[in-house]
Amino acid sequence: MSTQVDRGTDGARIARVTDPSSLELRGVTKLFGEGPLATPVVQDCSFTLESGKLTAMIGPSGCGKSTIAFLVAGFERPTRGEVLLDGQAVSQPSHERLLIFQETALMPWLTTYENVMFGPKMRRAANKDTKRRAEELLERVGLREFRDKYPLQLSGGMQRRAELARALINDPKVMVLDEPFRGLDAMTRVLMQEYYSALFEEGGRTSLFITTDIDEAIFLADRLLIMTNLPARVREVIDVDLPRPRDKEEVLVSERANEIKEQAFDVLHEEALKSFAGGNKAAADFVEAYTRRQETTD
Amino acid sequence: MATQRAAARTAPSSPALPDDGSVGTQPGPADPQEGAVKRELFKYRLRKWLFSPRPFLMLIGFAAFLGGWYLLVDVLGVWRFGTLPGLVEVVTEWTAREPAYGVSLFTSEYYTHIWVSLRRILLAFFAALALGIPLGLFLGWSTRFREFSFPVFELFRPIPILAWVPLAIIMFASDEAPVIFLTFLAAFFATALNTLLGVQSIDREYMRAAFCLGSSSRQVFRHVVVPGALPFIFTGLQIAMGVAWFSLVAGEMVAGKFGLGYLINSSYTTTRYPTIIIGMITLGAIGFLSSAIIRLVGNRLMVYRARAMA
Repeated sequence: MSTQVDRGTDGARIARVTDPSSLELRGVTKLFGEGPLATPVVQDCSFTLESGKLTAMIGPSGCGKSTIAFLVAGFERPTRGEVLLDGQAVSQPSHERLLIFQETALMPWLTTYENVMFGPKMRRAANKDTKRRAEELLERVGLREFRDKYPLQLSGGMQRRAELARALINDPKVMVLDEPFRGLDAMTRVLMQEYYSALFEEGGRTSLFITTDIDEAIFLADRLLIMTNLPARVREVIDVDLPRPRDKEEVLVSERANEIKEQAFDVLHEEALKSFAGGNKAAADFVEAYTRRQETTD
Repeated sequence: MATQRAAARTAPSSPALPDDGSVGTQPGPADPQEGAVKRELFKYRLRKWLFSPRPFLMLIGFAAFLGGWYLLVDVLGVWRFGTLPGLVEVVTEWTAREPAYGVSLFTSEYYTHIWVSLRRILLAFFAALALGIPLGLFLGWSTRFREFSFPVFELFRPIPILAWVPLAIIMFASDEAPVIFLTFLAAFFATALNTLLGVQSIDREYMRAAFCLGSSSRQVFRHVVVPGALPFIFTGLQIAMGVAWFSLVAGEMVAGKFGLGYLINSSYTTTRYPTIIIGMITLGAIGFLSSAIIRLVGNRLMVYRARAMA
């Protein structure tokens, strides 16, 4: 499977970020709801995305991960606490902190190429240089032949790749990917993980990758943030000290990866139990799956 | 693979397979052959249509209608059908060089009526478009603007167009303006409302993505809201064209001089019954054509939708 992803010649590779940024959430609380009914979705949440590292955030669905993505992107402002990019407080959306959404957000009325050029055009930077970069990026993600197609004419995997190209052309300081491969079939998902992993390793751009899939998180990340159930907070930080470049097949059978996986599973299980006790029905599925898994591995 | 990439870079138009093994559509033909391919495709589709049962079913449908008319009115004259103008009478009148009741394909009066109605429709329709689309866009875009103007809009919208007739005549002391005003009003409400719905139908993710990519509010309006609302706007224009013809005929019947609605009504009062039918069928044909033109323009402006369905 891994041979399908072409890691590219030097010409096709994307440029390495010379001075990667770091992003910090400092004591962030976000309340949602009307006046007296307001409840915290994120509570006293602090973590740092280290420069040039890929941090994966994992936690049960509906635990407030997307809210954290919106806070980092600047669509939401924290009720308390701060989001700091290289020490500067974040107050509004900007191409410096690019968010890639769960379902594709390519403009359906623009071609693949026009979508990639959307950011430069908006910032009045659509010049020879960015146009050439757009072509290069399309080539890099294997969409050169599809530059004049509209998003609805592309497959799910192609759409996600076009979206990666549309983000990368803006040279964001931080990229946030909110379950970007959700809704793809299993094969395409693996392919996309490898594509993304290769792109990250080439660029070395500070990134936050939000997912519910442990294997995906371990394969991609330098560091895992395991989140609590609602309200979201970092429950555990695990360093994924696996060598790069990584090969999906090798990584998933390595002993170290399994250790990390068990560690992550145990924490998630505890969280699910707590959440289940608190009346969250969704957690029951996880608890049951965990129990079955223990039975088969023992 | 490396050499293939290098070769592909030096010759950007050379065809190459997508290197990820993904299954997709044909590469986009951006070469001069595209025109030829399109013509071939058109010929192929025309031939396929001609040799399919569809044109015959269509003809059978028309034949059944005309046959039924002929049988019920001309031949049998049963029940009240005997009072209607018959098929033969209408066709003879319509195609006569010297029509008995004054209006046929060969009289200039016929074309005067068509032209007058068309001119009123076009004026009213484009005025509705020019005012309704911006109003709808702003209603959808600005919460504050919506809060102060939408309740008023919603109060006026349900008033049936016929209820506006007296006011229109009082307000515009001419033959032409009241009819155009009534036609405009109907089309305007349909256009504005559908444009508003169009803006509201846009997925928020597109706007968020645009802000993320560095757009200003104005740019989001221009590059996301307008194209995003376009499918609904064209649905609105189709509806607007329909209600415009409806209001036009109503207006012409009460307040107009000339026009197809006036022709139908005046033929009735002067008992020129075949002319009524000529006016009606003409309205049907022009109404159908005007909708088709809007569809055509819409498909041209929203190529991405047509492509996605192909």
